[in-house]
Amino acid sequence: MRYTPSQQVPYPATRREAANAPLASELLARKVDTKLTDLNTAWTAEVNGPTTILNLASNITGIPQNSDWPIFMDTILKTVNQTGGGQTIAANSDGWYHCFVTVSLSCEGTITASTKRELHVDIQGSDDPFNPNLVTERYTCRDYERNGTSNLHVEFVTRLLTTTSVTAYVNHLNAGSSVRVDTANTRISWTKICGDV
Amino acid sequence: MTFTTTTQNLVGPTGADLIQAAGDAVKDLAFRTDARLDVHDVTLAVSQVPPLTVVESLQAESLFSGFTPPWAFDTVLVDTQNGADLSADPRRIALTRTGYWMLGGYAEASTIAGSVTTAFKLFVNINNPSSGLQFENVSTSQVDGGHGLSGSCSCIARVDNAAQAWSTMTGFWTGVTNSNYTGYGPVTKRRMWAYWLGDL
Repeated sequence: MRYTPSQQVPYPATRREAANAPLASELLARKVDTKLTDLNTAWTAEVNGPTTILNLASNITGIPQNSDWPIFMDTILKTVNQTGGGQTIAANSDGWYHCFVTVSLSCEGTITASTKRELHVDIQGSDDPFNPNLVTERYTCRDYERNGTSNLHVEFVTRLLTTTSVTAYVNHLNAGSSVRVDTANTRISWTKICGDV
Repeated sequence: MTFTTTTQNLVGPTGADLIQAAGDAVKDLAFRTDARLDVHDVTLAVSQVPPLTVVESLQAESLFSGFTPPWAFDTVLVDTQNGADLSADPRRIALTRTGYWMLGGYAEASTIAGSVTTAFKLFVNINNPSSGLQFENVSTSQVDGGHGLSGSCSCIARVDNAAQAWSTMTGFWTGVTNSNYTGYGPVTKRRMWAYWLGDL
């Protein structure tokens, strides 16, 4: 019996070994079965994520001026092969991720002047034991609204670790008033592109 | 007399074959199976570590009030596809495999002189040999320049010719300010990414 060089599939060595064909057929079938099972397992993991999509079922109201308010989502819309992230972004394995954060903001009360609105996403966590909550990355989107509803969107590709935390915050400068995060158009999702390479 | 399967092009002996022919038939089947499994292994390996390049720069570069050349990058954060050769061309990520790609970027300018009242636009382009340079997507962020400008966007691009495909990124604002400021401001942080999604 011989074996193919790459996948080590068994085959009869020569024509004179034709009598071994039944045994070779059996071994070949077992080899293919094992290999296809491995491939199937790997593909199943590959096509099913890892992905997490978070949703907001209830408005977040009463966000005051200059408060840097963290946005904690209340619903996991979908999560596949990913155990972290009930409220905000959490990677359950180290690697490269594509993250999307969109929030819909509305004024509560009457605003008479144009003021800034801001969404920023902070990535925290460092190797420094004296400064473990250091913000290592920040991604920002700002809007310049008067009195309406606007959507702010941030997306980025970055390396996340299981030890890092990723949190979205909203801020605004509407003096004497507040804003709310509306359920419509508010969503956070992240998809793993690949592990550390 | 062997038979050939319809989808994977595998062969095997038939019930009418002589036993003397079975050895060759099984050998042929073994090698064709070997080749097919190799193809699946390669495809799976590409999927698990897809072609991915992320480049970044924290060095200031001009953001003009009109369209500007693509921005330059100076740091390769990850590159599994040999797409970034910043010494040869710091402004592009080569897309080295045919198929569909996710292209995107993030950029911010900490402050812009004057009060910018028009949208900041961020472009991610792909070179497409069949139709020339195309704008694949735009993201806008209307802000007050005194508070800074920022934007992010992604788009899905089709690459038919991997030898002549690359992505670039730039941005501009249309230059209308209430203080008549028409110059430029510095873009500070900017990051561009490209990763392969799948075959055509």
